[in-house]
Amino acid sequence: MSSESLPTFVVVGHVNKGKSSVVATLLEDPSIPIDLVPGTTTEAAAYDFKIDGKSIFRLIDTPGFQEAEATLEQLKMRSQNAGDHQNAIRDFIKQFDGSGRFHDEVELLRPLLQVGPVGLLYVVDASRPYRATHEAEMEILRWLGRPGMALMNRIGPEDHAESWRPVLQQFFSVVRDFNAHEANMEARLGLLATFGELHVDWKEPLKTAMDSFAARAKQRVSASASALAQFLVEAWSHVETMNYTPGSADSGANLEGDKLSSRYEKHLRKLEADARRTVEAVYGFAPLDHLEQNFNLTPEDLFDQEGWRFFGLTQTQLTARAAAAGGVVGGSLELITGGLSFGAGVALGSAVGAAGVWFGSHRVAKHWTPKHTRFAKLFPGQHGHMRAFGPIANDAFAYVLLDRALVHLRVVQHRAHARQGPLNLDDTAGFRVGDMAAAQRKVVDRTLHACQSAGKQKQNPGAELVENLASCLQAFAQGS
Amino acid sequence: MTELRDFLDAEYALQRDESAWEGAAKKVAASALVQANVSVGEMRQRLSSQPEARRSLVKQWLVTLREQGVPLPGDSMVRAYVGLGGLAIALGAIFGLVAGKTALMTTAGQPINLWLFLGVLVFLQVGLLLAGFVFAAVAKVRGKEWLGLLGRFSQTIFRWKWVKHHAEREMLGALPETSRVEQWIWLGFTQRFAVAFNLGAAISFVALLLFSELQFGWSTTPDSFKSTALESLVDVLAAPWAWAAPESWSPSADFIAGTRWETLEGNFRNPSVDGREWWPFLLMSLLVWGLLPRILLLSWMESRKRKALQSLTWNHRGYQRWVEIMFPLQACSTRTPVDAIEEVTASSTKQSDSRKGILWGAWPLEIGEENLFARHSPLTALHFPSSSLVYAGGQGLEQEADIITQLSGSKLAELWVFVEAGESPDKRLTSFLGKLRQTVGKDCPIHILPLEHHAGQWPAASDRDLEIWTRTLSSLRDRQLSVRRIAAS
Ligand SMILES: Nc1nc2c(ncn2[C@@H]2O[C@H](COP(=O)(O)OP(=O)(O)OP(=O)(O)O)[C@@H](O)[C@H]2O)c(=O)[nH]1
Ligand SMILES: [Mg+2]
Repeated sequence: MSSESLPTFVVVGHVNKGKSSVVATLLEDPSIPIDLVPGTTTEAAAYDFKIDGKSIFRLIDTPGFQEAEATLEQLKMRSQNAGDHQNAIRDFIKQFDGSGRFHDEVELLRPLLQVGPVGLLYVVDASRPYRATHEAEMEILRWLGRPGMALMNRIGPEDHAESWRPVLQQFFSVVRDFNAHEANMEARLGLLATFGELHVDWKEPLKTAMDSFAARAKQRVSASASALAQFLVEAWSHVETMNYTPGSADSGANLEGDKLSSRYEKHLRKLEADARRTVEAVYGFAPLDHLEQNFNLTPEDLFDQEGWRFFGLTQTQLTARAAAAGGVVGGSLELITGGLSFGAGVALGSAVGAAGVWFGSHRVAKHWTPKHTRFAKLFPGQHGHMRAFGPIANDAFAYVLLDRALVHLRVVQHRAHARQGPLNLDDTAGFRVGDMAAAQRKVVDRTLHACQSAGKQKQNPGAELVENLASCLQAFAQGS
Repeated sequence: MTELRDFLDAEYALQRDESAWEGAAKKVAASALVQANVSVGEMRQRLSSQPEARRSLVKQWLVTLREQGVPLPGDSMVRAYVGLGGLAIALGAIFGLVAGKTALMTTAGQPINLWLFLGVLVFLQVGLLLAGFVFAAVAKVRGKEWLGLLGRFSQTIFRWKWVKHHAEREMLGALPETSRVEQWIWLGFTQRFAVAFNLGAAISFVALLLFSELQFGWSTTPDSFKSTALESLVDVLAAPWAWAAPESWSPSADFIAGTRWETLEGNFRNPSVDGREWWPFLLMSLLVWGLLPRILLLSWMESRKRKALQSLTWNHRGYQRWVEIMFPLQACSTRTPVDAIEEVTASSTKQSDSRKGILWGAWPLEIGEENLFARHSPLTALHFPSSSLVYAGGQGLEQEADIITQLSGSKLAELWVFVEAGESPDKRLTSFLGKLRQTVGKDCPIHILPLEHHAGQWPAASDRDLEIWTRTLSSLRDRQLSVRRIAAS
């Protein structure tokens, strides 16, 4: 397809109404400059959607109207009748190009004059009421005689779409709602379909683009699921080892034990961070910052409720932990979900102390020393000079890792690429461990136990296990 | 030590009930945000990545706490440490003087016993030093802290005893961050003592050298003891300086053999030698083997202490709670510099006839005069008469030109521009403001007041909108132009 017949859409509108955000979200490109203040985009810039290096359609981001009234006045001075509107605009551009005056208007009008069909996307902020000053902008756009549609973005929480609609309908054949920060896959594909309607030649390429986006989404879920499965299997089977000083007194031994468990925690955290980074990269984001409570798994942290909140446990899960302390061990998932019925009130308060001990660092995983009869079998050739910590012995804790990973995936998956700032992981709506189907939980349970025994035997859990878990997670993530 | 004081105070304060320090923390947080001109999220990020930022924030917080008279133990603990350090030095010096004097004891008619001198002031010192290293090595291998049980015990007692008048004891039980530093302080005391001891010994030696005649000799009971044994010992001891010092500082074999004391005869084996000539060697032994290692050790420990102080990270749980109170997660999405925006009250504005107001933008038609000057409207609150209000920024450009002509030549006390908060400023407005500035002169204050109007109400502008307005207008670099806001009602 030559560049002339490439479906091209110029995104215009008043300054600071979310034009760049629309482009970033539609093309899933987080690198487009977006900022709070008006005048962020200063030059028109073309962004192509490509498949295998071939451009399929093009969006042109523009600076936006800053002085529409004055521009219209200038245009009117150059035109006698409707027949010479386009010439008037050409004159206008010729006169002011490079002069500094009307820089933004020149930049946004120029791409609209190119030969061949060009679509026009007029972005407004429908969380603000319609104001008569926008009429000049739409009037100018009408002079161009290009097929166009209006997009009602929502920057603020309010809704004034009703004051906009009747006006927009006078100027544009299509008026659509499109929230640049919240738009999900469906809304984006729907919009692309509408783009295809603007010109007879565009239907086909836009259809190709939609298919490609949908395929990409699937492939992203599957890549993320593999990354998560890899991470979980590694984390669940991980055993931290350390050379052991024989004959040291008890306090020394404890100290070494603490060191070992903190190394273990550190390693798990690193695995988690790496997995998150991978998922973010799969979705085309540079490493994101995370808004969540920092956690320190120092032993003292493990003993108080607050510390567990830092670790990412919800009140419900905390209760589940308390229940576990009561001796209801096993059936790991029921522990977490069933926690609901325990009520997070008084029972929690009294049980948390004991739970802290139960869930203390020494019980997150088992601490092996040569005293254990099976030690020699597990670590052949180590003549009693090694300690080991792991693999995860605490099912609830293992599920916490899974849950955190799922929350993260969910938030990344639904993040519009126009979004700025850190990922908010405290906002934990969406799929969680508790939403898994019984069959899926069974897969997770089986994987977990396989990891535990593999870890104990110092064996590699195996690729098959990872694949199984990956396809389970993929089904889960795709299903919701 | 002033830094240590901060750490003690901060850790102690964090263990206390929040109510004791919350106010100060919030105050510091607010001013820190304004000063750094960053959002809460950015501040949190900065704090988590820059230990320096954490440190300075903790410091500001402590200053505020102290100003508020909150009792904190740091000052008195640090004073106690200084006192203990002084005590260690004084005791060391006294012991050293006495030991020096004892080692140089003379029996009438006999030279000073070289063995005694070397034994007490060199061999014993080297032995103690080595014992210290062995102890440290054992502690290290066994993963214990250097200080050992006794040290811990005295540390605890010290904290309790000393601070009981100044603070609540239980809270001093656990100051995990500072005790990493305290370990080096306590070890420093032992080395202070040792340095002072060796100095004291050296001083008494030099004093005696100056004011009396000291003959040194050696003897052994079995006559079979060969002087070559002592020779090689002396060679080893003198090795550090023998290559550089004059010959007399490293005694020769003949000299050593000659100064063997024959008790029965009451003279040296070689009567022609002078037992006084031992002194340079002995003084050097004292300085090089006794004093020098202790000075090195002391300075190493001091540097470790400084390092430990620098590496205190402020990252423990108490601190995280502190951050949470100062910069709550929920506040991350809003930026706070808008707090710095001055609020408008009727009394803060000039009431004069030479005040003009411009209502900018295409405000909806339903806000007519009756809305603008209703009882609860900001314009009424500012005592703004309808006669001094003009309209611009709507459809058409004539009004803007009219205002410029109308204002040229008139002397204004101040100019108010009322804008729609949710419509971000565009170049139409900023270039109009530029023209206004040229017309009214550079000294006339121009106040921009972003307003919201909903169904007859005048709610306060959102922080986001205010930030957009301040950030955009500050790029105009007009000192007399300011964004103001109305008090939330
Ligand atoms: N909450 C929310 N904020 C939005 C949305 N769209 C845009 N914004 C915000 O609005 C501001 C402006 O967005 P941009 O995409 O830079 O707008 P623009 O029209 O390209 O701005 P200029 O390039 O300055 O003309 C940014 O702070 C965005 O984060 C949205 O759908 N929801
Ligand atoms: Mg832009």
